Amino acid sequence: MKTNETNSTSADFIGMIEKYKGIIYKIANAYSRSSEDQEDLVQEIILQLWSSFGNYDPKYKFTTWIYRIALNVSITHYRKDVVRKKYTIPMTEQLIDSSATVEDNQTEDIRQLRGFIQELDEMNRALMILYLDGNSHQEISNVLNISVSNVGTKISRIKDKLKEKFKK
Amino acid sequence: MDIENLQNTWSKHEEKLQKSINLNLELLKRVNVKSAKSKMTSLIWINALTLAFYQIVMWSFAYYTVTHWPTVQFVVAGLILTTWAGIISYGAIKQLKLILEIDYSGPVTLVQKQLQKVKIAIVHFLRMALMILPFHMAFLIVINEILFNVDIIKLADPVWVILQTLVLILPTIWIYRNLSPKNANKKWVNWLLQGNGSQINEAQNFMKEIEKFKLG
Repeated sequence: MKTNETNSTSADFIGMIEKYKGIIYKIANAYSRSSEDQEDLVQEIILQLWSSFGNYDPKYKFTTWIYRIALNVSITHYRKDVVRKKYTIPMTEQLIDSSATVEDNQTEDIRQLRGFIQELDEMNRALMILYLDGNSHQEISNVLNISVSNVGTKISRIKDKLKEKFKK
Repeated sequence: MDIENLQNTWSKHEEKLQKSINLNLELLKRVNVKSAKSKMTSLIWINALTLAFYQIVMWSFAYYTVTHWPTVQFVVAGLILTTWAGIISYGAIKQLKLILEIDYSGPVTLVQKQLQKVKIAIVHFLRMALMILPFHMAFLIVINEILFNVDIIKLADPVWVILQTLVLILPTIWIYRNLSPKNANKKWVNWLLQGNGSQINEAQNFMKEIEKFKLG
């Protein structure tokens, strides 16, 4: 009985990862310095999502839950300067395979935008990702725990900076 | 770049990422991700062991105090050490509570602040441990009595005993005041923090950044 429940939870989880993997990739990509780092980070996010999977609070949207976990893990990972390898699960096979480096595939616009995002500090980077993903100001405010008006002010400031940068 | 069409550029970026990264879902099905070691587990263990150790110390000193009643010097020394171990236990409980409260699905600014607090807590721990310095005579009294059955207060010159305490009061106050996260980069503080000074300093700065971000 318990095994059936576990299997069903596991299947739900994998279905969720499949559906929202785009969010995970984009966030991991924005907070990693290399494709290897990105692989580690995607793995860390998935593990954290799994360990928090049972505690999902339905009063928030499912995407809010994913954004919060992915951003919290990514910011923590990004700020860490100690080797983190010892905390990952030893695997003979790779969970993630980035067959081509991200840079190889990027068009000029994407490269510029990614470059700009990586220039932002950790918190503003999170805000920018949420904005670019098309989230409402209310949704961004829920993920970051800042006021809706603050979200609006920050977004327009970042956009102004971006305009200034690409005018040059 | 078309600034007004940023979201469109971004969604193209997502498509490219989806193509370049393959998630091995089959492997995910086979791996028991629950067995993965959490980053926080080691911190929880360190604090739980610290708590267990100081609880044993605290109850041992409490037992010593009760069993040496009513000899004043032994009771006072026992009470000082019991209180000290109790304060450190309380610190470990607070630290454990802080770690266990961290929920990665919480709002980003809140969780990040909690994580920085955990890093900074090492300074507060050290401050509490150092509070025993002026009372080190209590250690000498208890250890000499337990190991050699000697009452040091009866043997020693009372002036010397008082001096021992007084001499260390001022340095302890000075250390207590200066041992703060803002001084974490100072050489001696960094040495006391076993080389964690720069990390604590960074944590402190990040806390300020988060506050600034929240205010707008």
